[in-house]
Amino acid sequence: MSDDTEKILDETLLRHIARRLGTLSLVESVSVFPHERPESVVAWLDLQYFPDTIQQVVFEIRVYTNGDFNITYREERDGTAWMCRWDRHENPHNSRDHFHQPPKARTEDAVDRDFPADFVAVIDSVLEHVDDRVGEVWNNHE
Amino acid sequence: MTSDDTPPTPPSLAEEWTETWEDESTRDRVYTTALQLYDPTRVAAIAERANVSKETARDYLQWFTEIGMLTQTNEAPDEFVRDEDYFQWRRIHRLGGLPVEELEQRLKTEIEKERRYREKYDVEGPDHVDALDHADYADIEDVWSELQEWKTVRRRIEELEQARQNHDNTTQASA
Repeated sequence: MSDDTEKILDETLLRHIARRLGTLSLVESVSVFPHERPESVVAWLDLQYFPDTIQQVVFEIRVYTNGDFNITYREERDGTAWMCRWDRHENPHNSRDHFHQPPKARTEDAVDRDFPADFVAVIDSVLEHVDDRVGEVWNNHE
Repeated sequence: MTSDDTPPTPPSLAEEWTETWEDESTRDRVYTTALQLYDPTRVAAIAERANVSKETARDYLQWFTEIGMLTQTNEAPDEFVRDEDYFQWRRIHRLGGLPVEELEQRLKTEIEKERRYREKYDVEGPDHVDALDHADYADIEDVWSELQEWKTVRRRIEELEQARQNHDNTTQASA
């Protein structure tokens, strides 16, 4: 495994992923390394697919050249956030692959996971989770 | 217009994502996999990830090696790894397309960020920081993530500086 000092942002892979995320119907816009998140690809989901109570749904991705990544999904409503996070990095609290459970995605909310080696497949499993979440927000809303 | 009571049926993100993958050419699938060869990887594993035959994968991998994007680290079994120098060269080349004023502006912004990190952590560089000195257990991931940003800022400063020097050299050469 690569040394952690070689862990640098993988801008090429991120741009590639961003271009493909931008083609999805549920994605309203994608920003690559925006000013306020200079290391991330940020995708805003189209709010027409969410109840009016939700003001913003953001998806944020970072990938590094040692294979590490973190992916955050966040819904904003009236100043409160509902979020979860998929991580791959060495840490003292969990296995290298782990998931920070909603609604707060804190360190103590982490559970071990085993993600696919290929990042395209990782995104696929994350998006499946988001699909389920979209169904859930409507169920909770009614 | 739709109201809350009749939500539009959302298209599945995961299904569309898989479709974009399946629609890609063989070359693009091998390319996407090749981008992620952070560790030396055998052709068989690469072919499986890219969903192509070993022969096809090998052809493209040899081509990517010729242009410098990959390095072949072993023969029989063939193994390939990303060549980071190539990706750095590409980033600098991309920056070279910007006007020199823009490069200088970006350089200023990044240098300012680096100064703020040095003040905040009171050390010369991110490798000198012990995250536990700056956060309790619950926040430690935020500190790690900030140190990662710091490293990226430092790398961007180097690359912007390189791109600016290339600009100067080109200007002098054509003068």
